[in-house]
Amino acid sequence: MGAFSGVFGLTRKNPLDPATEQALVARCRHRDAEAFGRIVDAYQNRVVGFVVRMLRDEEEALDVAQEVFVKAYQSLHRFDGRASLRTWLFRIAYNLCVDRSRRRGRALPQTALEAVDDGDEAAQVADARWNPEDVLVGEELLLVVERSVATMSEKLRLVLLLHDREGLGYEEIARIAGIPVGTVKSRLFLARAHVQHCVRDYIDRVAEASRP
Amino acid sequence: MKDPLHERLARECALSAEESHWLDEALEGQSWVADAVSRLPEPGASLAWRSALEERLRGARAARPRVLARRWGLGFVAVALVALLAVTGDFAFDAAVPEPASIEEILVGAHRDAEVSVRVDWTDSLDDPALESL
Repeated sequence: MGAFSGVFGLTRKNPLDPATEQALVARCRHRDAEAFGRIVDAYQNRVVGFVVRMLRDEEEALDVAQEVFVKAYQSLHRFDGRASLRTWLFRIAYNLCVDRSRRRGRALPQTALEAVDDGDEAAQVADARWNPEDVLVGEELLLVVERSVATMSEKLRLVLLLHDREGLGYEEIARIAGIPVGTVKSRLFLARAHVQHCVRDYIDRVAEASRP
Repeated sequence: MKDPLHERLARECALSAEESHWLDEALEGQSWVADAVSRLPEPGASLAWRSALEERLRGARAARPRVLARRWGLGFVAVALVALLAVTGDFAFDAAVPEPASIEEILVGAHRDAEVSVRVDWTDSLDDPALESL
């Protein structure tokens, strides 16, 4: 990731409080470039991170992330404030990811979960309540988790990233993805089950390799 | 082998109240995944990326007044066209305006008007209190 500076995002809460956000949006509507710059400052890393993980193509993701902010700037006068600015930005980001995937001829899967065997994995792992950190050290675990996020279907990845990484609620995600809240929960469960499966698989392989 | 509930989750079927309750509990049991995902490194945007974005935003800012100017320009042209049509329409109607009256008709008309005004003046003067003493 040459174009990025590695930053650990430990705080996932909204970077702008509602009052500041409202004031900045009002200033942006009067073509205040400095106010929009502050919005970019607050969200750029999160939007870039989200788009990079969604598209899994760094160069394209960087371009799309810029497009997100240009689109936001051009259509901020249409932002009605019913959703938070964060939700609105992620919706633009998601729509652009879908557009870009379609243009590449690789449409985001919308209906079936096709090849993902998450159901099986969920059945075996969900109730186990084991903690892989007892087995893996932090960095190693994160690497396995990162790989598992990259290998799940895009619609599961969308829900996992928005909920577990960006801290969005079920309703907000439902609005962004255009799906019912129940479906958001189902997808989140399956996405996490996929991560669990990958981590457990990795631990099993390590254990197998270390056997005398 | 998948059990029926997992099959239904994978197919995104509507869940019963009992199944939804189970799902909520299962999601709580997966909290370590949420924790791990939230700790993934954040790929921060570089300065070069930000500079390129600023460039694109400048382009968008410059493009907007041009778009507005084009819209206003088109609006102005439309108004001018309508006004022009109205004016040329008046010219066309001018052809239907009757010929001016002859001098004789004008004089007769003026005489009639004068007669009416004299009658009105005379009627009004009957109400004059100065006449009542006569």
